[in-house]
Amino acid sequence: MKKKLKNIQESGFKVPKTYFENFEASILSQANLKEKASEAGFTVPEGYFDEVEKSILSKTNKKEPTKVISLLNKRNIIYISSIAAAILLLFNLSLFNNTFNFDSLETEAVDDFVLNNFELNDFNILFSNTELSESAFIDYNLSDETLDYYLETIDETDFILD
Amino acid sequence: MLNETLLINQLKSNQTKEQAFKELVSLYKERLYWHIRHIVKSHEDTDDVLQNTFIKVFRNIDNFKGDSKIYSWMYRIATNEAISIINKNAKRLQTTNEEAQDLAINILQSDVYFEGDEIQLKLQKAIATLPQKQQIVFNMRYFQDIKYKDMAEILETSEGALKASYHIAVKKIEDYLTQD
Repeated sequence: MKKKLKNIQESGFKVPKTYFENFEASILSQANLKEKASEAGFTVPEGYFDEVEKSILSKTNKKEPTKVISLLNKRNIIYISSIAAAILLLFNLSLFNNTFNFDSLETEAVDDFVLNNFELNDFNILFSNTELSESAFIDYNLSDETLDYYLETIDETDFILD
Repeated sequence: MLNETLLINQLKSNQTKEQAFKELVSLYKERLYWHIRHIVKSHEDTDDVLQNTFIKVFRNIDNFKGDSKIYSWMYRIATNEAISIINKNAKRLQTTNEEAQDLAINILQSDVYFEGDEIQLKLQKAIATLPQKQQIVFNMRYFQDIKYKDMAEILETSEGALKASYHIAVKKIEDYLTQD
């Protein structure tokens, strides 16, 4: 059987068991407290709020430009310098290591150099004696081996005057 | 009446950001100050936290998704920053957070920016006996009259839980004040 509206006496809502007691106690407690101390007692320096606003805005309004990352910062300069120094050091070290060794120099290279770069007359300066003495030829004894080598290697065409 | 959507859009646009932020600071600096002050107690620490909070807001405004009110977001940042400074102080003093807080309360008496009487000082001591979150709930409701609905959004806790926490806090404090 449907209940007619006028017959419904109760709303059907319920509350937690001790709700009203707790509610009252709570309100009273708060009222008591507020009576004793409604404020915390904290104070602020005079003019603080104006000052702090300026301070905050000065910290945030520093125009943040589109970040231009300079390549010439300290770190990069140190990197580049050290690489340059290393390269220089490498070159210097390799130069110092070039102790010139005559053994490694080929005779052919010397021949070519002399033939290409010097005239026969250039060697005149090497002769300290302006006159040749006979004794210079007599006293000096060529070994047979040397003579043989000379005779074998001479080119007859060298004796033809140009 | 603050048009929140408009303000947020202005904050996110480079041309209007500066002016919009100035407005935001002007609008919320006092409320945020007191919220922080009740947590950290000293004016100097509050000043640090307040400025850090606004700087963080400025730098992270683009990350704000608008899934809560902007002031809830700012209050949340402020709360976290305040708790951070308490943790930092405790670490520096090599004590626990509770001990650091007790110390902060003990020096309140000699603090030039505390003009409370004996009862108000005792109230601070009473609040310090509560768990940290409960302290924040108490301070927000009792001193700042923040609605439970707003508190729920800021602290990301249900209204029911907050109400219960607050009533328990009030009872504890009353007991503390009536003893001795």
